[in-house]
Amino acid sequence: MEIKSEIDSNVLTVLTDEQKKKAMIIQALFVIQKEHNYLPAEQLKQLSERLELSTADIYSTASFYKQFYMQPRGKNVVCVCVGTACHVSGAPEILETFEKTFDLKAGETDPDLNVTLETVGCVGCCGLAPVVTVNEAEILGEITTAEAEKVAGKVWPKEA
Amino acid sequence: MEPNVKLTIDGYAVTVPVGTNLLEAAQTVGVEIPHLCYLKSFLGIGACRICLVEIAGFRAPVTACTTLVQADMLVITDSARLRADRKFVLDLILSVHPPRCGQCEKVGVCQLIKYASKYRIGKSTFEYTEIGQAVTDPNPFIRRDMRYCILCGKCVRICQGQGTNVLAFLGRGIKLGVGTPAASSLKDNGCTFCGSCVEVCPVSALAEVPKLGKGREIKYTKTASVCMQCGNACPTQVATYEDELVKVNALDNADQTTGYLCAVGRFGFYLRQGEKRLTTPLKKSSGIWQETDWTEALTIISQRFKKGNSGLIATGTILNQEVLDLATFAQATQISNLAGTPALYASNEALRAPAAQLEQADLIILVGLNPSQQQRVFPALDAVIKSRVRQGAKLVVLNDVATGLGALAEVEILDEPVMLLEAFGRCAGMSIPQDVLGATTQAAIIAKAAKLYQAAQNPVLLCEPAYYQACVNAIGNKGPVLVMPYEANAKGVALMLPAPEQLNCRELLNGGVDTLYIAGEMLAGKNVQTDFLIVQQPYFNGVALQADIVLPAPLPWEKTGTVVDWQGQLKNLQQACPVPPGVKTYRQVFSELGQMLGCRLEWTAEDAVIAAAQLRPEPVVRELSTAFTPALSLVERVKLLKELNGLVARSLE
Repeated sequence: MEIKSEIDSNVLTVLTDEQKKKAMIIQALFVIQKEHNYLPAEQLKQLSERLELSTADIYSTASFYKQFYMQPRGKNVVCVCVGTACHVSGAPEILETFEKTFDLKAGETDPDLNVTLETVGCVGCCGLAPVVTVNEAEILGEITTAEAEKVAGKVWPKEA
Repeated sequence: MEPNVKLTIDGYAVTVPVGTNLLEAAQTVGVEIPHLCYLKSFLGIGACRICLVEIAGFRAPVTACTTLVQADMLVITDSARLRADRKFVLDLILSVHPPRCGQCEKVGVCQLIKYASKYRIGKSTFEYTEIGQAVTDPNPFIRRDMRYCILCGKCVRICQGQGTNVLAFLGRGIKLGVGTPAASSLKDNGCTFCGSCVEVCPVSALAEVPKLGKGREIKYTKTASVCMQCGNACPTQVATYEDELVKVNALDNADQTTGYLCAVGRFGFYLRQGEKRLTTPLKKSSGIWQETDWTEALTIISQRFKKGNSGLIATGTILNQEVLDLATFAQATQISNLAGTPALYASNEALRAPAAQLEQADLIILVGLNPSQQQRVFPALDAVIKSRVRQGAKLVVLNDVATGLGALAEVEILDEPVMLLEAFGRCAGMSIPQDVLGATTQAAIIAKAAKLYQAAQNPVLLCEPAYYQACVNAIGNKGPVLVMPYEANAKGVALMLPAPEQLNCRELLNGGVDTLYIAGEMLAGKNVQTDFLIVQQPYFNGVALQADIVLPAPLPWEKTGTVVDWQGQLKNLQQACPVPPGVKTYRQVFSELGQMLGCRLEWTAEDAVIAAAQLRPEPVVRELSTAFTPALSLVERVKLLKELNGLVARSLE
């Protein structure tokens, strides 16, 4: 079989420097977030300068993905699944329990950065609904409000 | 040329080039497919879903803006099903759009209302949900209220397409919105306030601040005009409400698309309201300015003219007919010194060169020019070139300094332009061996540029006026050479003025005559050495401050006439506002002065302008040493353009 030595010229139209730089954004954001636990504005500004892309491009990409955070996050992240299966199995009550115990609304972090409370669309284990994850490592299935209170106390022990 | 495709749209036989989308194809036979998000010259994104059409053999309707023509396609753009579909899509859009049309000033140009009434939908059948919010970003130009946004994305695309890249889509899903990074101000994001985003906004999410509180757009009177602030001479549409100028936008934008205006062109009228508009003649006596009446001012002037040794100067900011009127006045009164300010920076030949259009160029060779939206140096040229390159034209930059457009250029060569042009010219006429093109020496890069030139169908050389002769020498008559002048009607002045002059403009300004009259705003910064100086211009600034008598003059939108723009094309201005009381037109002034001097003036007819505008000698190759040397240095010339920059910058503080 004859192999074409020249790359198809149509491919070249998408292999522009601009496209390559844009493809780099997500990788760079992950590295920044790993270092800082969120995406500090100053870092994003520097990234835009280094990549010679506008800050608008960087923010547009960063704000699209739920995995990227523009605000500092707590040492621990509690994530309540509010997908359909979890919702019908009582996720609203679980979320309310965490909100009360932490005194935070979903999406918020306490000022001392102990904990961030989040919601998620689906974790992918609907059989275990309702589901809560802690630091994306621990998956707690069929959780009750009583268990939720315990988890909250363990994650952020408050002095009596 | 791209091969053509034949298809049928609503029963019309349509033949369009391969790669045309259905929306554009339909337009060629006058079929208007409704659309909210399509932006001409950009790829269709199919976001608004209004442009749905039916195609024979397709299961469901498709969006016309994202579907390319295919041979023998049978397209239906209007049917009961499509009307129902479009109505439902509008119903959804209206469910998140404030139901406050009664208070909205966009009425008259709002695209959403247009379609809502066409498809007979008053209020959404869904409950209204407010998404987005009014943005707090105080500035004198652009008001953003994202509650009205329908997420068509035109503003984001035009901002990116122009290379300004300030606006972006942020977030996702129900939280998706158009904004700036971290809700910062437009100014902090390097916005040039060109207002292109406002221009394309189909609804009231983006609006011009100057027009807020000035009534609904449906009540505006719109008139074609030309921005006279720089050599770009952009065509504009001037909107008045009760004889007051309330809005300026890019002309010929029925589809709200390609026209570009910079902040000065769009908002300049509003910015300059702070300057002192002249409405009565002023005279300086023992160093102090005094208001005077027209009779006294003109009597003093006519007495000066009677003494003889006078000169007249037409600036590039007055219209063709006004230049001819000045020439008529000069002839009748036998004032033989008549010159134009464009001669300060460009040769007569360069200014009278044949017309050419950048819109059709497939190769643009930019010589010695550094247009920049950010620096406010020929911002429209910057935008036009970027738009051409986006549409596939190639760009070659020859300059001695790195340019902003260099990044988009196929070839950028940085060295002394005259020397580069000589080398380029030698290469352009030769057959260039393939092995040279791969090398990276400067000779090889010049050869690469020459190769592009040889391959181009419609190359246009666009140069700083000083390089005109070098450009002509480099390419002979193969492809037009266009100079970019610094004044809007520079080319018009050169074409209208009778040659030859006795004393040239520089000599007149340097004390060649005892009495000098200047019509229009002269390039500031030039020190005029004459015994008695008369200036007629709209504002009390610049050279007027050095004058002995200052006469008020009308602004561009207060007069009717033509200019010859940088591409050598004749453009029309229609009077939109009345001339304010106390202001006289140039013709009125010449007429009254003529009477005082006992001369009879016979104005040239309108068609004299057209006849004069057609006198375009072909470029001639000649020795560079005999070519033109500008009176103002390049730094001085560019500085003049940047003065308006200050006006925009100050207003942002």
